[in-house]
Amino acid sequence: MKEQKNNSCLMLGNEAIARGAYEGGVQVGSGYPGTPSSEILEYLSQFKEVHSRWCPNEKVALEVAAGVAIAGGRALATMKHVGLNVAADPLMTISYTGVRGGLVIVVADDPGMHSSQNEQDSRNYAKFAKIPFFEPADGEEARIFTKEGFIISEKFDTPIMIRSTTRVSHSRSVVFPQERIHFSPFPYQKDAEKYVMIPAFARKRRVALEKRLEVLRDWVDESDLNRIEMRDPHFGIITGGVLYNHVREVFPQASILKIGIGYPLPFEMISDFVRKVKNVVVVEELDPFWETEIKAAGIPVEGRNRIPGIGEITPDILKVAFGVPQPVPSIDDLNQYVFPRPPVLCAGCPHRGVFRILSELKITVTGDIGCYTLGVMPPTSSIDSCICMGASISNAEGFKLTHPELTVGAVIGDSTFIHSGIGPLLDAVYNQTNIIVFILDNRVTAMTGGQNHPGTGITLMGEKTSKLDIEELVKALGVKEVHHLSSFDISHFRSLLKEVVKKNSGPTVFILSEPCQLIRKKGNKNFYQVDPNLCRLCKKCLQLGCPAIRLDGERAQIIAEYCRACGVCSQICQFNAIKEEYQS
Amino acid sequence: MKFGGIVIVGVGGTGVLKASEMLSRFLLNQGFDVRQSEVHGMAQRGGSVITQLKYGEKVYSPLLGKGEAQYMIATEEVEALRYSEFLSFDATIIINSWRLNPVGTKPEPYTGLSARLYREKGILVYEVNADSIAKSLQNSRVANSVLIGAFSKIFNSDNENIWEDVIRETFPKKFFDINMKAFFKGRELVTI
Ligand code: SF4
Ligand code: SF4
Repeated sequence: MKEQKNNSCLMLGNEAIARGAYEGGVQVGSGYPGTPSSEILEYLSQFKEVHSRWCPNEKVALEVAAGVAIAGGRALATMKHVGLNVAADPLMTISYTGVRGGLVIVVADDPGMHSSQNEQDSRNYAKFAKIPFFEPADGEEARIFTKEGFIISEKFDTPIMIRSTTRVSHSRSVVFPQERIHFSPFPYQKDAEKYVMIPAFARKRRVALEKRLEVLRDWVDESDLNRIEMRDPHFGIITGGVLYNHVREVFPQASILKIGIGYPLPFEMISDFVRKVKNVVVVEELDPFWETEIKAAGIPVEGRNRIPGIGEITPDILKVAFGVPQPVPSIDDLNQYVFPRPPVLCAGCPHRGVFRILSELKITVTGDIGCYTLGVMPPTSSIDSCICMGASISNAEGFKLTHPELTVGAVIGDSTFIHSGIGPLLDAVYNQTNIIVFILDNRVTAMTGGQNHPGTGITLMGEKTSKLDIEELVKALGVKEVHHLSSFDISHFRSLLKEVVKKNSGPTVFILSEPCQLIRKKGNKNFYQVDPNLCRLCKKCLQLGCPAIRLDGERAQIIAEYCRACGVCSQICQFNAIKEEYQS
Repeated sequence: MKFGGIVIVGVGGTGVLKASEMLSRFLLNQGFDVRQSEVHGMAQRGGSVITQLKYGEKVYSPLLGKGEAQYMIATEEVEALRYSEFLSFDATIIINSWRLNPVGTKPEPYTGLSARLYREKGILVYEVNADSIAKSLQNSRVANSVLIGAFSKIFNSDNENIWEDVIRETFPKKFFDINMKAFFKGRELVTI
């Protein structure tokens, strides 16, 4: 694709993906927030020509996008790597049906787990689903590849996956935006044999799928999304994504085969490269995905024997792997003066007091995905498991089935509950599992930066909409005992919870509501202070781990500037030493 | 010079991301190719944060290696020490004279420890009282603009109009004036 380059600007990789989709004439963008993918739809929603939406989860998002594509429009679905696990079900079959309008699925992996529970390599999904994936190296490629994705998707009747990683999604680089191309949806056409996957029709599509792969294999060898850069004939590297940039910098002389289409691979081009260049190494992050494919095609290359398969690959790691001396001296003996600074729940976070009570009453707590996973950290140390979105409730059931003597509770955020906690709660009701579920309702998807969801009553496009009543929903599922109270009212919470534990006849649900500090409007300048005459130096309030509460000698002290006046600490103090200071 | 490197470090929520956005825009404006890498998500909840910025005629990798940064801007003094491995021996550091001790422990005023240690290594250090300046402007969130103002002077950038554009592009309209004020305060503070 040849484009005129003029107005350059700096864009975050995710912004560039959104730009590419916009330019490519996309009609609908759907997804669920997840680091490092969240900003794509946020940027896309700024274009009023495109309908962008947060969906309850990635499966719904991909199904909406697939519906658009089958009906003849162009659609983008976005998610983080673990989100694709949730969307894997529609993915596997939309590969069979193919599309009419272009369908591009963006998946952002997180090598090094900057903000994730695992570092799975999503490239495997493309092969698993037998669809092509493109791997951009920077913002400008992210823009071009996404845009091109719609055309290729339509041309070969296949969904296209764009695989990004943290360092592509969350790096800024120079991008050359273009105008939006004009695209109107293809006229609707019923085609049951292609889109209704009953066995008789699916068997035919199964064959068509293999044919499509054959055609794609020929095409990738001609596509200019892959390219060879010939330099040193004695040292060659096959690489793609952000690693291409690391390689260019560390080995300016190396010959490179830059992979843009990561599956299916351009084997003719690769054989040609390996014939011309001696000592070819595949440089890739996480799984030896390309190396395995290339070796299986009978082409001799090196790879995992030199490059680590765990975590992120940085230019420095490449230098070590290839024995390149690090020329610039550095100062590295000063971090001995440093203390660890892990992330913490914000001052005034509505989750804090809840965790304090859970650990005080010695509840065995299964956790979920969100800011509240930080409840695992001292001083509350109150979470015993965290697997994936929605797993807290079903894990709690498993705990209880194994150890009925334990009091088992599950903590789950409002957004996570809507994402995939409803099914597990229904399971607990249906099978009458005696657990306690704590829905930490902070009215936002907090960890990823404060996105709206069906419980907030506002769409991604900023429009008012119907607002899910979580309490009514929980009751409708058949939960008999539901307590809905303020997350800050922890004295009340403690006494209610004690009764529930004593009654021992769950499932019981607590909905603890109070807005996240990201969105809470305080409305006054009040703060809490410790009265030094009443404080008996018990340090109990310090066990909350609030960033505003500090130890001054033996005495607790509240830094007024940081205090968000949630009042939780004043309920923890048994001597009434913590009081609100009213400011006009 | 293959490329120039800058690290901006600090505590999540102290404007590290916005500061590096300002710098990137400025360097792009100066005709450089720019790449900048940042971390979102979990790390932003009050944890330690770093962004890396590279500029030059052509930049490939968005990540800096050990010893590749000539400048560091630190919004907090302990964080300045945490990332020392990125600095070259001829680096220049701008430190906000502010200290944030771990949650639960006693707050301490700025100690000057990092400035002293770096100076012992022969590194040029500027201590900038960005936090107090920001507070005197009634907005503790603009400390980052004060630091960038100081940087603009140290970097020998005399074209104030460019910085005005940079600040306009980086912040929402209603925060433009206050960030401009903060920027100029920081700029006045440094003499080189
Ligand atoms: S962002 Fe919201 S939910 Fe997350 S720690 Fe802060 S207050 Fe709590
Ligand atoms: S009221 Fe207490 S717990 Fe709440 S933010 Fe202030 S110091 Fe922290």
